[in-house]
Amino acid sequence: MYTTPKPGRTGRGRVTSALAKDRLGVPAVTYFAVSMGSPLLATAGVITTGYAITGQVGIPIGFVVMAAVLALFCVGYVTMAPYVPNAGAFNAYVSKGLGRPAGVAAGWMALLSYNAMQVGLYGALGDAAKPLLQAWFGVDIAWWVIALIGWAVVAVLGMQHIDLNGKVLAVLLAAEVLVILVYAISSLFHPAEGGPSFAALEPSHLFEPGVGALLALALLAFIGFETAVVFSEEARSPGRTVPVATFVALGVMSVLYLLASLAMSVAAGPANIGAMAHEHGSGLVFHLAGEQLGPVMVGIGRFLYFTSVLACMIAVHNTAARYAFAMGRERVLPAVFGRTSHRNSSPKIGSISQSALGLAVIVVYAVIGGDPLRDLFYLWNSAGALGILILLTLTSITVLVFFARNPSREPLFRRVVAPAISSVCTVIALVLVLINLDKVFDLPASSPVLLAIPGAYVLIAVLGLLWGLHLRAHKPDIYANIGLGAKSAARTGLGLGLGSSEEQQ
Amino acid sequence: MPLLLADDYYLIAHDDVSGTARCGEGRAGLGLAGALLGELVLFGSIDIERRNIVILDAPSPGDALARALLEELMRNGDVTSVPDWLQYLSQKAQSQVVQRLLHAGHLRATEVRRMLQTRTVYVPTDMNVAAWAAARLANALGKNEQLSVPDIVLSGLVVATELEAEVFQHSAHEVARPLRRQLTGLPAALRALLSETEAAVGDAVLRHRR
Repeated sequence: MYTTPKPGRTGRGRVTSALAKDRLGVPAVTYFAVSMGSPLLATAGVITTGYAITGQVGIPIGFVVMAAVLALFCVGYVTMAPYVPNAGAFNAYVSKGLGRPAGVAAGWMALLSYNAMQVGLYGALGDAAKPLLQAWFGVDIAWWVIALIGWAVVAVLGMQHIDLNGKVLAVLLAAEVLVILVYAISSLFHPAEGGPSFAALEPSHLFEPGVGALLALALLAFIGFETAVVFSEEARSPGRTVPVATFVALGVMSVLYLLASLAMSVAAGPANIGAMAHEHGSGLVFHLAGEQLGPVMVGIGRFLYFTSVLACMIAVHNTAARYAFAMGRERVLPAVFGRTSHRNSSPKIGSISQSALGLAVIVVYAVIGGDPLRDLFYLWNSAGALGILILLTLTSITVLVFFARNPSREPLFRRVVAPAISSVCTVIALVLVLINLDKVFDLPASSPVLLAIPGAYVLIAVLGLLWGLHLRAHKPDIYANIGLGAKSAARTGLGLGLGSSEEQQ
Repeated sequence: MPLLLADDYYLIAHDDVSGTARCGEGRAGLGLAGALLGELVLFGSIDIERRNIVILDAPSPGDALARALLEELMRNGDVTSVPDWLQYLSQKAQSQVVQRLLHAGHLRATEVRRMLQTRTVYVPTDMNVAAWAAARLANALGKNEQLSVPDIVLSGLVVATELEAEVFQHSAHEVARPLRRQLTGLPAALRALLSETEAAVGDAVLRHRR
């Protein structure tokens, strides 16, 4: 899969070698994407809540389908990445394919999506830390106190622009993967009464009402796979590193989530899994492990669940702050968002405004009282995942349009076939999710939230489009920068000439 | 004798009395890298075409550091991309420019003991010299006077590395418009260099890791 580059290859100058040292290889990029996916959070937080909320047994088959859709999506996504000046941002893609006004809309939707997810994660942190504190210190602390502490940690780290130490994270990630595997294998060998049942894998679940909920849930678990393309320009071997890393990340996550969700349904029994998930919440996976493996393995798992949430919070916080920064550089958001902090290279204003939003939501939820895992984490993260699904759909179509307009030597499969199938599949998934929105969020069909969440995306998309059109009519210099991210060079106003040669739609 | 571009930029990016940096190392490094390449453009040694460096057939630059850099560019003909060179030079530009300023007597090294560590700080020998570049730019732009080409590039680097507030202070807002007009009038290679420097500063934030 990966071989270390041979040092001192002939024809390589000192500068090339010095630059190569800073470049990222497949393992680093893969690890970055998977760590944002936070596998144990997905297993303990997303899958269990999914079983409880959707009441569906078919979650594993949902993962299989979503993995296939995302794999197809990624074919076009990584193929187009080298042509995108700010790869790693959905709006940069959309600007190049569907036009700059649509790019503004996509950028604002992405900001909303990642912010929603970031906010929801505070709930998951409270849920993850509560049993740990109880077990270690015998204290019972309200989830929101923990959330506030987590909030402060993320706010400070975000301002300093510190990602947790890479090596520490790598060790934690490896441990997480190991724990998920151990739990899953143990569960498969400890089936519920009546022997192992693999009913959860029956494709018939895909034709049951509520399949949209399965897909939304699976997508939520996979989020993070889209971040590998951020490193398009500093990959060790352009054209190989990012695609390989993206597919490896997707593959690793697919296997883990499929195994974990299947094992849970086998151990609990497909008939009981919904009720058990309802009873135990995120504790289900630890409850099963406790019965099979004993308290030590539970303790390890619970600790890693907590670190997994924390790592995910930091990753999502930084992703959202980067979106705000890139759009500030383009002047699609106020210029202050594009300012670099004084001391370090952090997107300061984006980071602060996100923390402010997070604080407000924690306080509101603490006051109105709500279950941190279901009402905060699951609701807000699913709402974020809906936004990401809309963006995946737009990006799929963008890839098709882009390669239709700009002839290239990319193979037909990568520029037409895969993006076309992916466009159709993402549209279908989006429609299914929207139809089953009450099941996705576990709300009564009459709940205003079911209109409010998609409505928020529609509203922000319309505002973005209008703003894009306004810029086209009145601020052509800013309009030309849309989608260029840091390469818009709007501070000096000189530009890199990347936006001028194209059609000014 | 007027200072070279990177010397002026260094003095602007550091406090004129204490010598401490006015911005993070990464940003100052990119600014200095841009300034060093800018010197070569001003010497007529290189041109920039489509985001790549082209070495021109011209007399050798009169400054030792500029000459050394030009030789390095020639030796490493396999790398021509401006972003790559900015990235590479940003790592070592600081120490190179400090050496040049030390040699010219504009800086002196002082040991500062803080907690348990001893750090070397480079303090300007004459704060009037150190503050001169910033004052010159602010003054001329405030009066809407035409700057010399090196000074326009210097102002452009200040903007690209987000140091306006430090250099122009209260008048940062007022000088923005006249400065922008002068920047647009620069030769293409210098304009390209400034926007590459600005893009590199922004991309460093977007691709931050570790």
